[in-house]
Amino acid sequence: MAEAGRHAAVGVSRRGFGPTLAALGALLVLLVGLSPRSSFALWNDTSTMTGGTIHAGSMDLRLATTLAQGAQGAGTDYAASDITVTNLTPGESYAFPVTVTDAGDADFSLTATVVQAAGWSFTADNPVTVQLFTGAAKTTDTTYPVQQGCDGSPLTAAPVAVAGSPQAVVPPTRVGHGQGLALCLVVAMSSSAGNGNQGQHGALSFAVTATQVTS
Amino acid sequence: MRRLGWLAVVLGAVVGLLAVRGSLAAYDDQAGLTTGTVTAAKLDPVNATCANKGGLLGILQTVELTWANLSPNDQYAWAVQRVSDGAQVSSGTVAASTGASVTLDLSASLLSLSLGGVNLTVSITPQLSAATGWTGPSRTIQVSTVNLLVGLSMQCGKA
Repeated sequence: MAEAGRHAAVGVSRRGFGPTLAALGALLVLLVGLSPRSSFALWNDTSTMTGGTIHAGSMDLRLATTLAQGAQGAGTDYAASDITVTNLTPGESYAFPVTVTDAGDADFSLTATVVQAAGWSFTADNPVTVQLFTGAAKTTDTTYPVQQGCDGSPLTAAPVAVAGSPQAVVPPTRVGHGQGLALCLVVAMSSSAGNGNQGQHGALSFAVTATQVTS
Repeated sequence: MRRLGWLAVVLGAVVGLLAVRGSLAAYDDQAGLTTGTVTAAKLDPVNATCANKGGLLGILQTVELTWANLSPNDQYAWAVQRVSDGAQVSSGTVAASTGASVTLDLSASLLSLSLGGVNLTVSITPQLSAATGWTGPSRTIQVSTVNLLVGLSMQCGKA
């Protein structure tokens, strides 16, 4: 009986696995069926959105003296024929207004250098100096020796001798887009200028650069 | 694994910040500005004329040197030298003026001369009144002393 009972118990056990496996299989099928990965056949829909035209901005540095504003467009020069000095003598200084305008789409950092233009005939010790200031030019002094100046702060610590190679006259100075910066240019002759400079002449050539500020 | 996760978060934040700051390739615009001509002054030489002046009955006369005033900025340095030995007898400066002409009167007493028949040269040099280092070319004119019974006179030209 004990043997028979043991067989009976085994038989009951085998009969119990069938429903369990069936239930697990059904659950697996259900889970697979619910999974989003369950099918490779997907419905889809697409649409196209066309935005407006994107125009790149630009930098536009413009200059003006007492003459009309100019230098529009990249690399364009400005002829400041009103910045002229006659009969300059040692120790004299003449002031001129110069306005820099940021007419572009972003703030820029302004820098400038000066160099002797073609035809320069002053002596090699470079007796002509320039210095840029903020603010307006004070031009009321017209009697010898002329000592004109500016009502703002200097952009360089000292006057810069105009040499045969470019010399920095404006350290990086920020100008907001759509804004103007009033500067004052002082052209002078060193008080130690030698006799050999009498009757000599030359023009000043400035290279002005506006670089977009990116932060 | 947790450390790697934090590292990924930090790296992501840095990359994000850099992206917000944009590209370093900025726009620019250049412009040249050329001025008119800057011209230095030039001092020209004077063109003086000499005239015998005054004196009682034509004696004890002086000489008057006259030249055009080239610029109100100029003053004129003058010097008298004895021709015989080149010694400088006297010197001075005629101050700048707005007049059209400049005059310089020379007398024997001014020059502290006591001998007649002395030939002299007067040199006149324009210079800037505020920067006397700048001078123009000098011009000379000859004068001389004449010893008269009543005293010493001067005349234009050689003795």
